[in-house]
Amino acid sequence: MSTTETDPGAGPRAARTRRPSTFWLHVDGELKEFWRSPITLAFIVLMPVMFYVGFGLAFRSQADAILRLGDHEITQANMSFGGVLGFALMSVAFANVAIGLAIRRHHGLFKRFRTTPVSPATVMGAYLVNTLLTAVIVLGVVTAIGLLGMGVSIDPARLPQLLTALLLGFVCLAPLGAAVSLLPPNADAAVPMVNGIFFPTAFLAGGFMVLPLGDTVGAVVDLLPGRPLTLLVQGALSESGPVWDWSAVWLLLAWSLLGTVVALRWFRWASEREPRGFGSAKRKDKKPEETGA
Amino acid sequence: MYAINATDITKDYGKGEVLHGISYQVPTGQIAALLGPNGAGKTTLIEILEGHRGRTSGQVEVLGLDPGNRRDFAELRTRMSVVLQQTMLEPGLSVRDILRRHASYYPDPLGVDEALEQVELTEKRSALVKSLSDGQRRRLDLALALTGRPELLFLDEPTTGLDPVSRRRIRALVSGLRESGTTVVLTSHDLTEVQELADRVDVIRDGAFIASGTPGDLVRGSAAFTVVEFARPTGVGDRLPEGAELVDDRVRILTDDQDAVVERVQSWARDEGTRISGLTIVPPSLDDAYVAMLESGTAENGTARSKAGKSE
Repeated sequence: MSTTETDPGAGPRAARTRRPSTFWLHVDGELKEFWRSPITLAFIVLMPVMFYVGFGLAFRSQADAILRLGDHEITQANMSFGGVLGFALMSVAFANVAIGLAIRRHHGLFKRFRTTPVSPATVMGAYLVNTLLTAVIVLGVVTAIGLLGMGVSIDPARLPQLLTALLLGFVCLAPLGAAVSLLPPNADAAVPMVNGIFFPTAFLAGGFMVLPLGDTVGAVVDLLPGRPLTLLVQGALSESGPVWDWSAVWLLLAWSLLGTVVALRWFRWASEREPRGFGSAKRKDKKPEETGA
Repeated sequence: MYAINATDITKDYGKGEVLHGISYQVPTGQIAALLGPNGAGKTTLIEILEGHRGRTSGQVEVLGLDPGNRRDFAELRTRMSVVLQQTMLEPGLSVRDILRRHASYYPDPLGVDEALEQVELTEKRSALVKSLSDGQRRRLDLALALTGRPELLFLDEPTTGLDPVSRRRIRALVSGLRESGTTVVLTSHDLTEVQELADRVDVIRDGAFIASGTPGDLVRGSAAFTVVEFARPTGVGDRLPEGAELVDDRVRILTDDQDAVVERVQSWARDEGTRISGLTIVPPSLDDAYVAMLESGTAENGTARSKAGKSE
């Protein structure tokens, strides 16, 4: 983009003609901020990849072994691959979103935006676009490694289902991440609190191996978002059996709805809790009991 | 004409009122400082004026708009800016990236170069935020705030933690805003800064204003003293002028009437047959006046005001 033509400060006339939109400038900012940060690259992008390389190599000798999972038959290679896909998606769309938003909120980045005319939808939308792009890149790298070096095979007939399952997972996990970002009381607490949710959810989902959880724990884990995502991904990667587990689809959508409602209902720009909305004084006169930070 | 006209504002968080029906006016184009100890209600009042916090009762007009009204608040955000005391700027973005994005929020923004020129940061146009010093980041904060050509600017502790050179630069910049007609509301614990910059000062304590006026008014109206000092003449021993004390071999007199004291000292010197040397007269600063005000509860002359009163 040309500086002189697109510079918003070039004057009103130039601004009307070639001014990039606020949304895309936010997306541009998110992309640069994310990809220029060694810490996010290491923990969000490289961790799932390294994890897959290690895990895949450990099970490489059994790559062609057929495992039976309920109604499905799946190779060990595809089972590991599906587990890493789910893990990577949870890392990018859930943990990354939850930690990133919490840190931005507590470090005052959102507070700055709050003082400007930019809308929360623009800020959050740009953040999610970057997250989606990151997810595509990470999942793409994992897939390339799986196909080229780990003996993974994807049935072309089931590829749309795999993509749909991953998209559903993103639609479920990103709002949940935004909702969970409201939990940490400060920036320092963000990483341990979010990881305390993320790692158990990811590993109990059964993406890497069938875990002997018992009826009660198993029933609880079945309700967490990691499990239905794993079921859908494994279905799409299996050699036989039904692709769609509709109860898993509905469960993911329910988690997505819950995450969206919580994230929107309790969204806040700053660390401190604030009164809801900005009602007029007249309206507030009727609610003298209003409380705030 | 007021940029801010707020009357009878109360705020109750549910544990009792933190603002007790206060009124606050800032004439257009002035730099107004809002002072008060921590917990006085300063931040609550500022956030109500900015539209980021609801009020329990009272009327508020900022640039003729009610910040408590959703539609007015949206318009207000295009006409005012806020420089927060501490916020994060994305470390991986360049100065230009951040300014361009910020400019896109406003209908007629300053150009990147124009904004950077105003804060003398042009040479850092392509630098990443993480490479900037604290002072440079603060100037970038100001550049962001000025980008939308605000009619009203809220400045929260603009020079805290900065080196003297950066402080001086930022003060000059803020002072220059007055010439451009921008109204500035300044909160600061640096009273030298307030004395240098502010056209008017309002002091809030326990949710009520205890004094208002120009910095000079507040100093004159306070219980703070002028300090008259001179070197102890040889041979006078302990015979000092009335009301004087000896501090490090200097004679010191605290007074609110320096002319009378100087006259008294001259008379004393004649009587002692000695000469006065090293005479210094240090009038009270705003800092002294502020401390005296908080200790005594209010200013002593007409600048003091009741909780719902106006300063002008």
